[in-house]
Amino acid sequence: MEVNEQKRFETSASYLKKPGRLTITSKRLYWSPNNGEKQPIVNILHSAPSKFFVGKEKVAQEPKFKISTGGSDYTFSLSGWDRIQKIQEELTTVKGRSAAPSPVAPRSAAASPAHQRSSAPSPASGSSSPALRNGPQKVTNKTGASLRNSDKHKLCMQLLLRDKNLSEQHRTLVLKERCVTEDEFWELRQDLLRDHELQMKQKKGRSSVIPNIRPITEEGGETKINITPQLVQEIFDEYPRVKIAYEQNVGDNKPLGHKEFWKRYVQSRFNDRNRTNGSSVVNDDLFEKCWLETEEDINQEKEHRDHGRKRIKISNLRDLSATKEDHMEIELEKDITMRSGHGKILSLIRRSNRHGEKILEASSSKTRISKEKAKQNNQEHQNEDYMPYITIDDLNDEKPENAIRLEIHDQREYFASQKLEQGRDVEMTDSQNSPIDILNEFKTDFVDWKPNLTVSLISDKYARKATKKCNELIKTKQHYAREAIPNLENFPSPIEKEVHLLHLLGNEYLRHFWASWNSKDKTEKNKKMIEKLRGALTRINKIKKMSQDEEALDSSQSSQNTDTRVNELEWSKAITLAEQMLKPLRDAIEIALTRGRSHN
Amino acid sequence: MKVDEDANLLVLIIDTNPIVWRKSNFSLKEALRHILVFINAHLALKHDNDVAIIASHVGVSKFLYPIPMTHENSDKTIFPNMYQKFRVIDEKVIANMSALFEDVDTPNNYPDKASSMMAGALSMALCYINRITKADEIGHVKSRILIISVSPDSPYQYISIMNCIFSAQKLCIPIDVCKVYGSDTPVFLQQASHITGGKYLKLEMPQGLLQFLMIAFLPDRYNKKYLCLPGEERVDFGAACFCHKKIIDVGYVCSVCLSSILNLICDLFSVYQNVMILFLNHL
Repeated sequence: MEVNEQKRFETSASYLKKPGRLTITSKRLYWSPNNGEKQPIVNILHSAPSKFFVGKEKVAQEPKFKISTGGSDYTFSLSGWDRIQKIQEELTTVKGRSAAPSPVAPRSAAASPAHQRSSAPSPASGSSSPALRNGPQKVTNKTGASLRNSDKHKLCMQLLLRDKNLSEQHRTLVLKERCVTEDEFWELRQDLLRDHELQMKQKKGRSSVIPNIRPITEEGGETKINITPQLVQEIFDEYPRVKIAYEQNVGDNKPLGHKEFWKRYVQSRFNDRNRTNGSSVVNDDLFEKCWLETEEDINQEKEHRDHGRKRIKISNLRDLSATKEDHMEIELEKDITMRSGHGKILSLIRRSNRHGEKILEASSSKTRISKEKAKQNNQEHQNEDYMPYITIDDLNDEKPENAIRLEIHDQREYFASQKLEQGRDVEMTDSQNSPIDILNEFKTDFVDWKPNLTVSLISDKYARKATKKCNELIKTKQHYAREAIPNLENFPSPIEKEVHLLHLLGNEYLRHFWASWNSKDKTEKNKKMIEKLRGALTRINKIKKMSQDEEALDSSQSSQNTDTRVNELEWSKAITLAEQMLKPLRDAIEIALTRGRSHN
Repeated sequence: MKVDEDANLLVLIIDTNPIVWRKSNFSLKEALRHILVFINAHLALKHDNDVAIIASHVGVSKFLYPIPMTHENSDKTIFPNMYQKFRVIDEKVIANMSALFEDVDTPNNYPDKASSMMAGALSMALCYINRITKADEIGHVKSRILIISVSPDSPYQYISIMNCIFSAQKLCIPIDVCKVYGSDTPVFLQQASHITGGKYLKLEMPQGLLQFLMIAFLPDRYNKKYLCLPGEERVDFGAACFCHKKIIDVGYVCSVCLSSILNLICDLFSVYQNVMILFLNHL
């Protein structure tokens, strides 16, 4: 036993038909026979790679397990299956500590499903020994991180499958052009991942469709009916009588088999009672009984509810002498469908209502709580709470508001620059006149002023200039409206692809650049982005030099290109258009580069 | 609804800041003469056309027409050669304008003499239009607002002006702006005309004011659809720093009032709850 080694588990086990003692410590597993030998015969270190085999509980006669390591196998027989479980747990925990990259003890296919509970090392299983506290913590972090990484990877894959645009971006940026690494790509799209994760985590409630058996017509004219276990469960939930019938009639010693039961169900009128072709149905005693009983149930439910209502305490605030005339304002048709006790046939509306009520109750916790409360109220006959009905809001004291008071020092300064305004005011008054002088001047000017509108107000020169200016403005407006919109019908595809690619690249680099701007630990990344931005800029500038022949030679679809060749004029027009398209991107990159330069 | 039945209401907001008018080389009197002729032209287009005039003064804004006359100095003689409606309106406008200038103390005590009370005038215009529209049962009064502005934007009135602009947009009232004199681009008024579907026009020579008004601002709402009128289309939507009025690319946003600022250390802003970093790529 070494200094740091601690015994974790000990049990009696036999190896090679000899009784002995099996011990698991923090460092190894060893077995020594009972005849008192000090040295253990079997010594397996946890750090050595080993495999653990367990026989199936139901199949194997005896509880035993096998460890194979380094080419040799050791089989131990134990007294009970619970011991084996304990050993498994111990082994996995200890192995998880000692070997970081393989936290899970590899399991063989022979392990029974009952043992799969302890397959993943729970990081929560704390270590008892203080000496090893740092070790396991590091490992658990790693295992936690590796778990998170694999989850994250799964999320990324799912997200890429769902979103076509994103997958295209990913393909172009990460795989083809190798502009950014995978991690960097996802670093900026954390919110997408988070949203997706939340969406996946949402728990779906019970399906709201009334369980209905739908036949599928196959090619040969036969109809095939799929009865899935989920459908079976839904039918049992909806019609408890069918469940009782199933339990009574299907089973080991019972008359019907599983398939036969469902065959009869499908053929019976219970299933087809809403379908009008009466010829194909067969009267089936079993399901007739089910049907009658279901109807009785429903009617009893209604009665029980109504009956229950009679016991509800009538509020003292209710006006018992109210007659029909007090409610004359509402002019609705009288409802004749929802009357209880009228015949045994449950109409479709009532069936749907019942079904809907069940589903809502199943998913909502409020109705349960309110029902429990109602029961309590009924039972305890509590006094009614009259206060909400008689308190008037105006009579209550005003509650202090939870508002935060803004401590604005000077409201007038909120939007204006004080210095600027002062400067302006000084400027306004000129050197000679103070404002009061100007005001007085205007006052005297306007007293008894009668404008003479009969003389010509505007000289010829100014009128012509004004008209000319207006015409110019109109012209530019028309130009922008009509001719500035480019015609993109015959835009050559190589240029289009290049422009598209440059946009994608440029935007991605810009995003990374600004994201790592001003953050202390990402200066390296920032510098790298600057380099990449410069590269993108040169690439943008190269577009001018794209010529058609080069493109034809480069692309592998040269045969196709001969069909789509455009004449030189159109090509150069397209190039200028492309430059215009890329102008905003170019400006943004230049701004980023100047900022980067000034920062460094 | 036939177009013939439309009655057009033009609400004219005249910026009468004396200090700014003094600076420009075009006198307010001249401008008023041009404006009066323009008003007469508008009234002459159709019998039902109506007009309302509001003066936006330093620290105060007042209706010039229609209000009942307070003093009895009006000339009661009837000029037989002049269309009565024109005469009435002209006289009232002049009289009320001089009454406005009589009061020297209120503008003098107002601290910010460089700008006029545009927000107040806009609100009054919108209220008047609302009243007329509600009173009009048949529903054929089509109203619009024309602002003749000389003074620069007052940043104190930013929120009020924006509120007025949004209400005008809701009510589908176009706001046209004619900038007679002014060195800075009035961002608020430009945006006002853009949002509400009006025209913004900056005059290089104010002496041609009447011609510009006749060409660009005389057609009413119905006719505008069929005419191509001059107006500056390009509006500068760049976010401006609230303290320095510079267009900024990267800045900070206050989460309380949503104002964008250049630096956190700008000493004017003493209210910070949370600050977000806002990235703008200047297009």
